[in-house]
Amino acid sequence: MITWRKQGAAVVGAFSLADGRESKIVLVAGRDNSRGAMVVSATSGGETVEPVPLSECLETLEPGSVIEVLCMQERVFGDSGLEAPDLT
Amino acid sequence: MTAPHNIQSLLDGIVTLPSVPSTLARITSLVQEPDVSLSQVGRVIATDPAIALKTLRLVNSAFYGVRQKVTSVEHAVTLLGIKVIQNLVLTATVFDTFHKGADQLFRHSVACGIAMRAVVESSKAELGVKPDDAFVFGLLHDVGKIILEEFLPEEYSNAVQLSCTREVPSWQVEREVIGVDHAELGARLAENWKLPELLVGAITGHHDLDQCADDDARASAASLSVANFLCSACGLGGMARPILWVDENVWSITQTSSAQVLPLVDRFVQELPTVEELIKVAA
Repeated sequence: MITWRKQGAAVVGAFSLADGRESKIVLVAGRDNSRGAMVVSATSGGETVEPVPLSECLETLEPGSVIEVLCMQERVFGDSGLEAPDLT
Repeated sequence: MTAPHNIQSLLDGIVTLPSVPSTLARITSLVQEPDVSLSQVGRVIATDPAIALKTLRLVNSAFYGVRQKVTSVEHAVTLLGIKVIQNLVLTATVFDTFHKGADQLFRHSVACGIAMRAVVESSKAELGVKPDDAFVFGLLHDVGKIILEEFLPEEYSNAVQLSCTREVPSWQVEREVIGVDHAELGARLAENWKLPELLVGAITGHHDLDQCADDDARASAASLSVANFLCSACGLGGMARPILWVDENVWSITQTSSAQVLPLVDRFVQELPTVEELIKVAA
């Protein structure tokens, strides 16, 4: 389960990748923007790597995490009328 | 702490499950006859004006995508066939029996029906559920919650609150507080209504695959679990703060990869307007 918080205009989620590494996802725009969801993770040595668009690293996430990310993106930035989440 | 009830003590003393509505019972029995005709099915539906009207409104909704305006039950039966009409009558009956306003739980149930069809149609796995049947799986999966809410309002409300404060899935707290969870109760209703075994199995195991009796039930329960998760992630979970929890085996059983999730979410989001349309049909 991803823990979400608001950070300025962005929404940031903390979660674990499929291999167990801690990671963050930063949502800044809707699903139609290829850089609207960026994954920020660390190498096994602990160095933070460059943010990668979600669409380019899908297989590093569990399917459930991808669903959570896409749905949160739709709720915050989409125009489908889904209720916006109550984030602090 | 010992849980106060088991399913039998609950049904013996506190909960009265709604009996199967007569039109649904007649249709269920009729479609099992080998030489049933379309006109016989149409006539039975037409004798129940409320169900006939809801069935027609469903047929003409965007969800069913029938291109021409259908104005009579006979026309609907001829156009869609007996199996689809049977599902429509079940849907109309559930709308008629359980809808009490546009509450969160009902919206969740309808959304889950739409999500279930998307899951079934986009999965590469053999899930055992046909796309035409998928909607009623989602629509009925939480019917046990409606029954708990009606007969054990205080206990059920406590369970929901505890689920939120402890951040534990509601069904686990229901077992602790009430002794029975909504899945078990809903499955019992589906059994009493003589609904298909696969649907009963899916309702039974949609939160806990270990409750499924066989692989077919596990596959249908797993797909229902994905649909349920999708709705909750979209804020359509039926509770103020739904707990996003899913058995990790559902992804392998439904053969859902991370890449396959993209078109699944796209499709579900595209179909979201039909949630409100179907709720209006139910009213």
